[in-house]
Parts: sequence; C-alpha cells; structure tokens
Amino acid sequence: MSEAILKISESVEGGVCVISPAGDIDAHTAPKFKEAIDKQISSGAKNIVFDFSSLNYISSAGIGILNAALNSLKGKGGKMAIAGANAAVLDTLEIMYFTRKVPALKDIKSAVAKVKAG
Amino acid sequence: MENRDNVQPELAHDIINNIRILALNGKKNFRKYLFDPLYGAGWYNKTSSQNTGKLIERIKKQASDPSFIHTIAPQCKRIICYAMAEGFSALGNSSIFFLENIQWSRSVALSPEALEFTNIISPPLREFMVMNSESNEQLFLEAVNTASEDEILTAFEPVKLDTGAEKVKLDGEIKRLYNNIQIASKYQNLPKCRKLLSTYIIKYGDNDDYARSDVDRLIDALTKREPGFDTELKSAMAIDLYFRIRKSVHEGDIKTTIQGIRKYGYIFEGDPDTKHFYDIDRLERILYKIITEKDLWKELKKEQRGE
Repeated sequence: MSEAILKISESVEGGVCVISPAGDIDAHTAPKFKEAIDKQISSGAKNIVFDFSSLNYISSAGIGILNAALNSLKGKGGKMAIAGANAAVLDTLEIMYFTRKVPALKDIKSAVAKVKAG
Repeated sequence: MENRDNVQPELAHDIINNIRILALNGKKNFRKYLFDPLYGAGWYNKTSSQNTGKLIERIKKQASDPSFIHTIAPQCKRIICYAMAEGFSALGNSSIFFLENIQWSRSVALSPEALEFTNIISPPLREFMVMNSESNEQLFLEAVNTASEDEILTAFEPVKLDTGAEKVKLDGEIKRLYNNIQIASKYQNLPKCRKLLSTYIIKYGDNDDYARSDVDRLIDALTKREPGFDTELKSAMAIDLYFRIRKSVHEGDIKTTIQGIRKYGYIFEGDPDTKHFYDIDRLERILYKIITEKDLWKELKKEQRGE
C-alpha cells in the first residue's frame, strides 16, 4: 500500500478557526494533523471547525486526535464542529461514535454558525 | 546478547504477551521459539520428581518474606528447567510466572537469571512476532470476510451509557478504583496500581462517561511518586490491548477485534509512539475496506442509531 498523503491548510471564517485537511489521516499522517491542531489551540483558538470536504480517509488514530482536541477545547469552554465530510469519512466518524460528541454539518458556513451559537 | 543490567517491567510484560500469543499458535511454534532456544542454552533438566505447579505455589508463599527475595530468581530458573521436561504448558506457565516476578520485584529484575532468561528468549520471540504479524492480518481479513452480516453489526453495537443505571455503575467503578489504588499505594504496590488503572482505562476509556480527569489525577500522583509510571502504564495498556486484539483475530472474534481497535484509538489519541500503533492501523484499513466491499455501512449506522 502506498504511503498516505495529507495536506493541511488553515483559515478563519466568521472569526472561527477552520482547519482543512486534504488526503488521508492514518497512522502515518496523524502526527502532522495533531501538530496543526495543537498549533491553533496554543495560538488561542477556542472554537474549531474541521473542513473535511477534501478528506478521503480517517482512521481511529485521527479520531483519537480529534477527541483529544475536543477535550482540550471543552476545557477552555470551546467547541468543535465538522463540515463537508464525504460519505466514507462520515461513516467512519459515526461508527467510531464521534458524531455523538461533535456535530457534523454540510458546509463550513453552517458549522461556523453552530460553534458560534454556543 | 543484549547489553542490559536489568530487565525492565515493560520488556517482561511484552514477553509475557508474546508467550501467550505463541501458545495460541500451536506446539510446533512453541517448541521452535521458546523450548529450543532454552534447550540450546542448557536450561533443560529432567531430574525433578516434583510437579512444577507445586514448586510455583511454594515460591508464592515465600514471596511475602523479604528474606527469600534473593532466592526467587534462581528458584524460577530451576523450575523452568524442570518444566521443560514436564511439558509445554508447564514451560509456558513457569516462564510467565518468572516474568511476572521480574515485573513486580526490582531485585528479581536485577538478577543474573532474569537477564539470562530474557536474553535467551527475546530474539526468537521477536522473530516469531514479526512473522505472526503478517499472518495476523491475513487471519483478520479471512475472519471479516467470512463473518455474517449479523456478526459484523453486533460488533459495532454502541456501549449504552445513557441510562441512569449504567452511569451509576461507572461512578461506582471509579470509586472502587480509587479505594483499591489507595490500598495498593499504601503498601507501595505500584505494579498493582498500574494493573488496576490499566484494567479500568481499557474497560471504560472509550465510554462517554469515562472519568478521565479523575484517572489523570491518579496517574499524575503516582508518577510523582515513581517517575516513569505514566509511560510504563501506557506501554502496558498498549501491549495488553494489542494482545487482546491479536487473540480475538486468532479466534475469529470480530466483535472484540473491532472494539479493541476503537478503544485503542480513543485511549492513545493518535500518539505514534504508542506500541503497535502501525499494526493497528493496518488492521483498520482492512476492516473498512471489507465493510465497504460488503456494503455494510448503512446497516451499521442504523444499528448505531438504534433503528
């Protein structure tokens, strides 16, 4: 199996930090994903939206990282939402119980509105 | 020979699980990767007329007396030598007994017998685990492929913790954990504390109501007392969980395999330094691929929502 590739970009939408990973999040790329999240949280991001519209695959390693970030944000009174996940990614998130913890919305705009709604 | 002056509890724990996995893989492998290396090192001895089980019981009784502590390692070596003549089960049990004592007692871990034993069996067991890891993935593939849809769906059943009774149970468990750790800690029994925490975290770590902050506080307190406690705990949990997953793969028990993967993900939060991190990832890829091929996602999600 060829090595997974992950590219990550960050932006701010409506005052909320948006992290957009593109490619696969598995054991090999998970550290890069964690680094990007940690950077945003340590820079003061309280609410984060994950734009998964260009994400092809997420493993339990990636979901574990999301869970750690969720705990960290909750500790600061912050929130998290997921936007634009394709069916395969959404399936995995559901099966791993993560969508019970974090809302998954259609697009960035709705996700930003959700975390800002409090 | 590896250059060490003592046997780390983590290594002993790892070898215990390797021996357990080896035992699941038949007598031929047991002979090749455990019996033969010890035989080649001159450990075989058929002179004892006593059952090794009884000899182990005798050591257990002596273990609480500090004046016997330095005799444990030589006695364990002697028992293993006798056990080789007695049979494979006796050899496995006595090896695990010695390794458990290495984990629990620094004095045993520093003994020449402990070093000699682990130096003899570590390399062949590592070789076996590499070989077994490849066949393990194949077994998993076959297990998932031959599982019925019902079996796969059951494997994904959510842990229902929303009801009052479950929450009360979990609250009770954390209180019990606190009490047991307090007792173990009072007697300086840190290996017991580690075992208690490991059991609790593996059982509840993926639940919504998991008392994470309480557990973290306990770990911090114990790590202040013994530096490295946290990393040893983590390592022990990863080894245990991985052993559980491999055992379930071997037995074709899809439910436990999948639950194990999920627990591993939530407990170790994508930390690549965790033991067996990449092995788990490979199994997971296989699993999702098969669910997609069998077109089971929709059914699984329905199950998840309790429809």
